[in-house]
Amino acid sequence: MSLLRLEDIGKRFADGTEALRGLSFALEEGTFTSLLGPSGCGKSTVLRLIAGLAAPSAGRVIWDNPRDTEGLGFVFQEPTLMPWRTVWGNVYLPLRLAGVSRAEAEPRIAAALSQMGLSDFVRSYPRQLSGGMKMRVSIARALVTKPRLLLMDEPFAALDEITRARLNDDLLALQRAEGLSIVFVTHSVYESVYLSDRIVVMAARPGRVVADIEVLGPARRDEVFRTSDSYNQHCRVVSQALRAAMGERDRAA
Amino acid sequence: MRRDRVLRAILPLIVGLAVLVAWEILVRINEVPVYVLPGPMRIAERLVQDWGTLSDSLIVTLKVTLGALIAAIVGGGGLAVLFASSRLLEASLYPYAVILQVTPIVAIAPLILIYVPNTQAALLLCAWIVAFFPILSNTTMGLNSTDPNFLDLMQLYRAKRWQVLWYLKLPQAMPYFLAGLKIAGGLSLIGAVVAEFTAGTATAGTGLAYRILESSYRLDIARMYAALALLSGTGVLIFAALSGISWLVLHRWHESAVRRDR
Repeated sequence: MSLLRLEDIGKRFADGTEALRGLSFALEEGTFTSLLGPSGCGKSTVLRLIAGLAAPSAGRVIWDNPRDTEGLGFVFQEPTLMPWRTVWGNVYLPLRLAGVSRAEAEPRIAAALSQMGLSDFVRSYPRQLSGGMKMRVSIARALVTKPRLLLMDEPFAALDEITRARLNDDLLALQRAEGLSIVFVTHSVYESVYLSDRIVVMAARPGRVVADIEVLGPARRDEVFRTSDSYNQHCRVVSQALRAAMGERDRAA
Repeated sequence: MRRDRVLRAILPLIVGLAVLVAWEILVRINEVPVYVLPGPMRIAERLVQDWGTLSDSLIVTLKVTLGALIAAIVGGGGLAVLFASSRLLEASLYPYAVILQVTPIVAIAPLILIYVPNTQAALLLCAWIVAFFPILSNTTMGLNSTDPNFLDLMQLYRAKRWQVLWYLKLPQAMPYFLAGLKIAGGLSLIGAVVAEFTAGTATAGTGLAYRILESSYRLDIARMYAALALLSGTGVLIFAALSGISWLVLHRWHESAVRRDR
């Protein structure tokens, strides 16, 4: 089932920069889609357009069920946690803004925190947490509204390899458990192949889709998949698509 | 760590004590007349003798100081919130706040004393003019320096304007506001004293500044020093109290107040 469609999207910023041109693709429900491309290809802009944080200059974002736009989950590149609030307080924020009382919110917050393995850090302040833990809080905050679509803008880019691998696995488990649809922006070919059902490769100036690759991996992703021929094969295909996308840009420049 | 902290507390005390002892000794050896430079002992004696009058004056000055500080918090903070919610308002009024700030209060005070019939209100107004600007300028800066990601987050969750202010901008501006408050505390005392000096004997003012003025006419130098010591002590206490409040508010989360283990 389709969740939303982007139709012939164009985006021009106030300074005249053309960020996106003629961008179209549909998102299927319950799938993990990665947006992969070089810096400046408009990946983050696509996420912002889907989230309604920016408006397209041309084209439309069409939701099959407009109610899905409510309580979207968004995870930024930075954890974006309020330093003056505890972990609990940060996760409570979306519900508090929606007018949900503390008592009503309590079980939902507890569930989101436990899903992200944060139950022991409820009263901690963000500055007391490591980068990976902060990102977990940020994901828990995005989950607390029970979104159907989770938008993630290079959330693990600043983390070390080990933390990143663990968070990748936890994210996949979460997606399976909740039947979440995820759009994940990344620079990493390996991360995108490991996580995704589908990889949309973008080129820059102006940002556009140059390849749409289905990852035919097993439903359950783990170390076996990461070391399999199928994984390597996919990485090669995606790398080539990415190189082609960057080559196009180099020629254009 | 602990030894370091103890040293930090004790060293200034030792220096202060040494200066006082040297002062006392020099005054005695050189037999400096009391109307030129009294020794610390003499000043302390005068402080005790005149405690009744001086403490009454202290309370008068304190009232003006604290009144001005509270008005500065309400006025400066309130104005900053208005500025943050309307760029137009900020653009129209901010230059005048700056003009008010850069014009020396000593030059404005006589005019205020002429136009405002109630002396107490005039003193308060003078002290307020000096004290409100750091709160206004710091809080405005804090309110305007919100991380755009947080604003996106608020937009995503469809926060109303008051929610953005209450849950995001005000807490984010708190460290800036508190830094401004610490400056304003000292300035409101300075403003109060300057205003009292300007009001001088022409009014029924009985604050500490007036006592200093009065003592200087009588060449009662020891009393001048005693009043001065009270003023300095008050300034230090105000600063300490405001630093304490700042620590209480920030110590859990803000880098400036978090003690690091090295």
